[in-house]
Amino acid sequence: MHHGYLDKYSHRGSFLNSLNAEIKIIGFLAIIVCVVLTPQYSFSALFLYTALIGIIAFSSRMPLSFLLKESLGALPFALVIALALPFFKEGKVIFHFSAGILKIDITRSGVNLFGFVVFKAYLSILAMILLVGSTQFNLFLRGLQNLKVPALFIMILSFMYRYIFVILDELMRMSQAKRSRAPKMKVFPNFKVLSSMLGSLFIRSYEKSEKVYLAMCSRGFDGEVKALNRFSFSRKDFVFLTGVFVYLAAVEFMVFL
Amino acid sequence: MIEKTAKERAVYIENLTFSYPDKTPALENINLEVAEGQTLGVIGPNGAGKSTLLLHLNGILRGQGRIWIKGREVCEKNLVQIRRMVGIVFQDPDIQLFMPTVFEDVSFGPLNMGLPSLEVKKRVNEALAKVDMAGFSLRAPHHLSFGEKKRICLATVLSMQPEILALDEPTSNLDPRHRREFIDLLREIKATKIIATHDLDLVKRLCSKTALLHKGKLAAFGDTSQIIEDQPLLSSYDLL
Repeated sequence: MHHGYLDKYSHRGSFLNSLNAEIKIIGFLAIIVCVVLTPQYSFSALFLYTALIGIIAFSSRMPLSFLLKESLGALPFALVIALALPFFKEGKVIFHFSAGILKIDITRSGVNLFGFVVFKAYLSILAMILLVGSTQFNLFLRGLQNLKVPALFIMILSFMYRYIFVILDELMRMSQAKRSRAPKMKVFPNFKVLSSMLGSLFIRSYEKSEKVYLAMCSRGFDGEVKALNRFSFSRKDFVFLTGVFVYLAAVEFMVFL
Repeated sequence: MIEKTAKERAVYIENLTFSYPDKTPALENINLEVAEGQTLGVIGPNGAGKSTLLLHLNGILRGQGRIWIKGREVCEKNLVQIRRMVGIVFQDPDIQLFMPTVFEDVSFGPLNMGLPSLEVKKRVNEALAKVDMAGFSLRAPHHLSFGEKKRICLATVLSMQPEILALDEPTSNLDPRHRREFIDLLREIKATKIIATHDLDLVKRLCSKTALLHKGKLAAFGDTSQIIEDQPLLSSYDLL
């Protein structure tokens, strides 16, 4: 069965594809930190960060439809977190609702802050998608490893990437088996069937994980995943990292003034 | 006396008995020996204990009784060497291939052996070439066909250059052409091989000796020609 992979545009030969994973991680992390720390209502700074991410997106040669689809998919998480802002920020009330003891005020400054926070979150999501989407996942993991991210965290990510599609395939097969025996039964109103399927999927995954561990042990695994270190620093990496840092420093300086 | 004989054999198993934690008996008093360079077929119906037997060869499972691999007893202090000597290929490629890319999977064993980078790369390239999969090193396992995955599974242990290869159902789920090619590939590999399988044709083609397991017991052991030709014996153990 075929699935959409997040790193499917990592082989396009673009400028972004050719960079070292470590350099990209540092560069994008710096961008995200600056975006997140942008002072309230500093629209010019936010505009300049949007321009920077736009330039990087253009150099990645990723289709706009892919970027929009993936980024909008992650946006609801940011919306949920920011949802309370219009109700708690003090300021001029633009909407009032009252029913008994329940009183709700929505303020103009609250709505502005909500829009500002959501936009900053959206820019950060875009930056993350550009980073992960333009980097082969194994190189991304090695980048994290070289940047001294804890090995356990990297192993969890590695197994998740390797097995999520295997588990999805298993779920699809179970769903097909259910449909072939009960073609008219819908899954969602029927929680008994759904919970049985999920329980069965968990047990199968658990058993598989035990066997994978045995397979690892039989090839000498001693608790640490070893990898060949292939870190190198090219001129392109230098150009990218210097360019990003100079740009970010210039914007931060402008904000400071 | 036993230890002297064990030293002369690639694999020597003496009175091996094993039960799973829920007390289900899986192997009962197994005695087997495999000579250097020999290929042993382990046949038997489902649940006979074939896979369980293979997992004992490099100490993944530990039962009662004793096992020697090239004269070295399978015990805690020898485990590191034993696992270098015995390469197990699991039946399901999704279990054998657990790393994000083919290169990382094939290099997993050699890196754990502590080999230097250049040697690891050399072994990975050699192993991939041997299974006719050179050029696949950057591919992700989940992008490969089943037949390709099976070949890469074999490469993951060949890169460790094991002296004994233990294969669990190597031809299961392969179409006839890939099955034929895989058998040819196994024939070319120069190592002592132990193959657990239902595929009697594979046993006939590759194995000089055959062990028949039934409900965890060794029901028959001898020359493949004798066992495979013994139709009443095979029928009585649900293999025909």
